[in-house]
Amino acid sequence: MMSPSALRLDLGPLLRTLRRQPMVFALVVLEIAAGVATISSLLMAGRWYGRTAERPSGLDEDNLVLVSTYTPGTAGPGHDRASVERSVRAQQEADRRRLRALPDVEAVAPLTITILDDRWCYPTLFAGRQAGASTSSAARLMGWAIYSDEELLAALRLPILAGAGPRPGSADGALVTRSFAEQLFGAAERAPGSTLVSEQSPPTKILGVVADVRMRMPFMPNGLAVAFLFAPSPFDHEARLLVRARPGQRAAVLARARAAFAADRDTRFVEVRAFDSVDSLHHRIGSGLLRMLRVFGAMLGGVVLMGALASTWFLVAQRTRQIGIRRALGATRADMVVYFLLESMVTTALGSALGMMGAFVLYLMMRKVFLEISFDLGLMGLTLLLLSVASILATLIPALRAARIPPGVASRSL
Amino acid sequence: MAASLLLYHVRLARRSLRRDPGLSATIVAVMTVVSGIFSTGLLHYLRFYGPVPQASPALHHVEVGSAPRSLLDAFRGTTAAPNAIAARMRVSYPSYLLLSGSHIPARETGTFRARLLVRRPAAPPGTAEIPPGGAPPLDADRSPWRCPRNARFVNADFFGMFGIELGAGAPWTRAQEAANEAVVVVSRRLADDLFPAGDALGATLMVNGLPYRIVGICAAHAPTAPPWDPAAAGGAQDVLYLPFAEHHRLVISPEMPVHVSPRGPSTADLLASEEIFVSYWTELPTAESRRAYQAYLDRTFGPRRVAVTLRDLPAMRAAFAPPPTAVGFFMFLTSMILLGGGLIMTRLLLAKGLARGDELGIFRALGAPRRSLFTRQLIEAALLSAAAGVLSILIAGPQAFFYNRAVADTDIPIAVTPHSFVITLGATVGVGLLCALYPAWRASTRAPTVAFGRPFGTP
Repeated sequence: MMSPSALRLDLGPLLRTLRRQPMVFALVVLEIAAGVATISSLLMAGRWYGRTAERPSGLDEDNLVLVSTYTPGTAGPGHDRASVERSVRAQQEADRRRLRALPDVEAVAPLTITILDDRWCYPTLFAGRQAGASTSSAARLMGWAIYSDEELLAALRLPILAGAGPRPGSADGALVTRSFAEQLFGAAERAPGSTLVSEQSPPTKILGVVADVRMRMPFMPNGLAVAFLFAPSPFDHEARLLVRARPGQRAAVLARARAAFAADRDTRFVEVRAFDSVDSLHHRIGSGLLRMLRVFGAMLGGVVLMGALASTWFLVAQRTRQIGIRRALGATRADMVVYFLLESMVTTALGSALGMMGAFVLYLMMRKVFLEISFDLGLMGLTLLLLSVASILATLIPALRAARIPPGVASRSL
Repeated sequence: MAASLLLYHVRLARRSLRRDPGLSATIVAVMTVVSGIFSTGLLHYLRFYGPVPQASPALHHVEVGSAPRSLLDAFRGTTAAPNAIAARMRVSYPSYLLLSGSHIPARETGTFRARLLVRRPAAPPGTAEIPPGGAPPLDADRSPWRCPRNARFVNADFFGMFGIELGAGAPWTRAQEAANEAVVVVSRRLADDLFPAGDALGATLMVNGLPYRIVGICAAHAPTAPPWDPAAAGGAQDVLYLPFAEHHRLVISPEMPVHVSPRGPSTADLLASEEIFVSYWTELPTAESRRAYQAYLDRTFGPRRVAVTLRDLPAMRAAFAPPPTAVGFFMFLTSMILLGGGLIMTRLLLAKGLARGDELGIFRALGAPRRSLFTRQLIEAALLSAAAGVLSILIAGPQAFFYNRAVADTDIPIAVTPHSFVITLGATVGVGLLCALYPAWRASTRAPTVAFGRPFGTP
């Protein structure tokens, strides 16, 4: 343990050295600051991508199969738009019946959006109106509208937290997720029975509240605010059917569904896949970018270490005479090592402080482009620790070399 | 004379480089890494914000109504921020019909995006379903030539108005469009995917089961942020362009309408509704045509009490400045990293100067002017950073390969291009020179007597 007097003895020459070469030490401090700011920002962005990629859908995915179809239909002589739409919808309904008829299928629900979609869509503005309250006074919420029907609950196996599910055969009403209800009504219990007004569909009654599920890419805002609408969906050639297989039978259902639609592949698009949010575009983007940013962070750490090592080596070499004089005046080898380490710690501390400020400025910039990113003190601490270790390592080797300089070196040029 | 002097300095600098191979190698290694990271950021930046085809200077855009605040607020501060301008730049179908009904503009186009099924009429015997070199499928079960692809409905004038260059063939004409001819222009990506033998032009393409004749093939990938629909920035490119009116025959719903008010479920309901999904552009080459069109807008929308704003291209760009994106942030961050590498280079150059104090002192003692030493140090730094700039391709190239294989957020690949290479090299050398100023000044101001003030070789 270094005594205060010894510390003072070391700090004196150190501060004099800093004063003698302010530019050199300013460079060291700036370099460390840039390292802290950039590496911690890279790590924070990487963690954001990693977390985004890992955000769960909230569904029990192990027994789910997603069947996506695109059924063309063209208008022309004898086929007006309405008849084309009717025939496409009829085909989509037939697809559903075909899936329901497969062994080991428990439920099949249509969904207009799933977390696996790479297709773009916009959210919808919702307002809620409790009985006796006016819409104008209601809170508003930007959320995601998904059209489905009464088999939704059986297919998604979502627990109802308040209210009830849709009545069989009913084509009216809505279920909302807990996040949706809490943001719009303050509490899940207040939502059932209220009227849901939106930019996308006519006013409808909220039947119940289900557990949170994420139905859009996690890069999109407000992903847990979902309203399932039990109304005819807007016409679309594309359709998605979520199939729930009996536990442990997903592979068998996948194979049967693929066989059932094999003949359709020449006339339209049919894709049968396991519903696995890890096998999705957002996961691929998030995990890929996480890996890239980690590599860049490691490369930058290596650069800082390499640069510090090389330049510290020469800074020590530059002060050979100074070291020789101190040795001649009685400083031990250990004193010399401590001196250089102390010097490194002072510059590292200054650089780290500056770097943290820089990292915070970068964080403020990141908040504008990364949804819900948080300033990660853990990653900041990790960056500081790694750079401090690198800095000590970069100093230790030349410092040990300096400690071996004999006192006689000082007298050679006298 | 100046050239021979420069060559002399370059020779001296090269010799000087060899004098401290360890330090020189460290400088190159450090700058290569930071330059490689910078180059990687640049590749992404250029893909998003890079040069786009030169649009007609007489282009005008009309903003109809006031944008729904809800959408602007929903996306603000998110990675999807560019989407927020969708509601302002696009119009509803009824508004589009009004805008395009004047017959005043020299050229005009409406455009929107939808997803269509595209394939060749029949797979040639023995042809693999997934063509070699095609985009990696999202799923093994999903064949890239049968999955829904992004297609854009446009008018014949679209290609000329936005300067889209075709590598083969030509856009369809107004006459062909008026005659409802089944013609399409395809992207280079689609032509390569479906017609790897290069026989796409004139071939028949099945679009949602209907045959269309390919009359043109785009010369390059579509811009990641297409100027004709900036809200579509970042997604997969449009692989197919069809005459605007074909959406009736194909009974198409647009990919992403902005919801404004409840509507019925059919496409007829959509076309009669206020849902926003069509981008409309007009070309007004003269002041007179602009005045006439403005008067038309006032006559048409005034009685409906709908605000309309006619903007020329510079005004439109100012009004719809792209919001900050993650790509822009990473470009900034990688630029900072390059500058940080420059700081390390400065320290290493200072160390180099220290190590060669004797030599520099002797040069000065033998009559070398300060300017000469200063220039030589700068040339040395330029050579080192130029080497790093060239070597940065060793990082940027594999990174681009990895990104296109493992991340592939869109079907527009990032690639090291001559353009990106020149920028990277220029930036690296520029930073190298900037960061060499102080070490060069210090080295050149070293007193000649320093070399002789102590035993030779001691620091």
